Amino acid sequence: MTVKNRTVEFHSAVESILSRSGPGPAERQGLLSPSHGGPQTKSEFARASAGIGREINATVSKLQKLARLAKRKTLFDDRPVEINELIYIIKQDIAKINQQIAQLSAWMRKHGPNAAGGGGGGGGGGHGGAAAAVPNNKQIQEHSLHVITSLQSKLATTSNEFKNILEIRTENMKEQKTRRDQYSSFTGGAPVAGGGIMGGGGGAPGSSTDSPLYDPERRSTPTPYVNGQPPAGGEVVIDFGSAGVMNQQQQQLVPTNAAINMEIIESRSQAIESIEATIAELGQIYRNFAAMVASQREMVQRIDENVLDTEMNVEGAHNQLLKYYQNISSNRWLMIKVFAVLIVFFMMFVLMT
Amino acid sequence: MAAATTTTQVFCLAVAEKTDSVVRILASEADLSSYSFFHRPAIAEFVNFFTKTVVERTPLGQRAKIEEKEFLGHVFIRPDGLAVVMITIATYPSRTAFSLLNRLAEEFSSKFPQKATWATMNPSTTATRYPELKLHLQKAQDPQSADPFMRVQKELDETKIVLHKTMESLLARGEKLDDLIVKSDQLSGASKAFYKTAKKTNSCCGM
Repeated sequence: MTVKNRTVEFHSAVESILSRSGPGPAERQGLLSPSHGGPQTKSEFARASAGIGREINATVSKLQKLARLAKRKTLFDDRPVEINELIYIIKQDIAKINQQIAQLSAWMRKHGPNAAGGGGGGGGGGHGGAAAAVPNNKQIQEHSLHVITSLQSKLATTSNEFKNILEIRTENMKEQKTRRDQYSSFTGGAPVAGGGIMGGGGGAPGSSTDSPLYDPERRSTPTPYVNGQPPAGGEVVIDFGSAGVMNQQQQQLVPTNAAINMEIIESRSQAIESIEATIAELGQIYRNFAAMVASQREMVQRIDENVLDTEMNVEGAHNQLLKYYQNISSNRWLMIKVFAVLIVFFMMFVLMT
Repeated sequence: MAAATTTTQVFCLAVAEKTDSVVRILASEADLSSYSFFHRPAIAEFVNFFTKTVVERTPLGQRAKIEEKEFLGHVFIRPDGLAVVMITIATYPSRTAFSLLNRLAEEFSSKFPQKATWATMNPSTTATRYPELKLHLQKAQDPQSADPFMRVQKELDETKIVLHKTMESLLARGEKLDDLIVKSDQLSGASKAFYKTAKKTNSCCGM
């Protein structure tokens, strides 16, 4: 963001070229001295633009400081005096720089052609010199134009930033004010309302918008009574006459309308939020549900497997039994063997005894 | 003819016209069945008076909530002078009341758009000219059903209850399935033993 002022460089470059391509220093002198302020005006130009660049730098740094201050959002440590001072100073600086740039450009316009004309006239003899001088002056002019444009653009960006900072600052101030009001009116609401009723009178209590939250219930209550029978020893408000009450009524109902609208909107938003929460809960329940059913699917699969296993085993056993039965019922050889053994035993027993 | 599900919460629903603080009631329906027969005229008178006063006191284009004895009056006056008043018990939710008032105002103005027709209306003609008012009154007795938010909320709650029951039965099903697993395991083991025994008997022949 610093203005790189290269006029000094250019100045030295020009000098070196001049010293290099040097026909008659007389013409040179002739060239240079009528635009006599030649090097001087150049250096004056350089000096002026350098000065402007430096000031722009300073302004930018002040602006940064202001930005830091303005961004603070604390409620109590705000230093409005400093901030306002800074803002004032920066404004003045920007205006001054603007002025200086305008001066510089006007001066350059005035003196540029002069320098060119002076150079042309003085170097009438040294044609080459003049030819060499004119492009130099033109280049000088171009260069100064460029310098001025760059200075102006830097100033423009600076003032843009300044504007942004001011906007941020006003927003912050508004926020702070509302927050301050919130904090102070909650404590100040009740006593102010009490004072309002007691002090009574036609004017509504000058309390902030929060007191109607306390008030309208109490204030609205007396209304139907005013035209009917005033209650014995009723509210103090009634003693001030119906006109006073009506005034208060009107003034109390106006903030009440806003309070009612806020109430409606808030209750709507609450209802919507609760509906949303319920729906989210339901979603969660369904997810759990699905997980449980998935895990139970595995159990069912195990059961299925077991039962199939059992069926297989029973089937096999049934087949074995069938085979056995077939064996038993078809194998006469076995039967004969069994009976033979029986008869042998029987014979043995008979022979024994 | 109170179709209240629980108790009567809304006592009166009225439409009025307010022109330069002159109030004329155009239509009104009341439901005073919760009061004994002899109190009803007095209460009706009071309700009328309340309506008129409230509409008089409220500036154009505003809503207001007035509390008095055990009644709560919700009033909404449109900028063109049409006022709707609802008198309910003290615990009626104001959001429901005001949304109902909004809808009522819209319906009324769409049904009778010309102010000229308003001139011919008064409370006694309500039953013939604007019977929907009675329906609204009955519907409003149960704020749960009248307010769409509450309706949705109620249905969601019911759904949640149903889901909870389902979850419980699901858990029971899980237990039963567990039981079944164990039993089928045992069955499988027994059948295997049966098979082995049968096989042994079969193969090991001879005496």
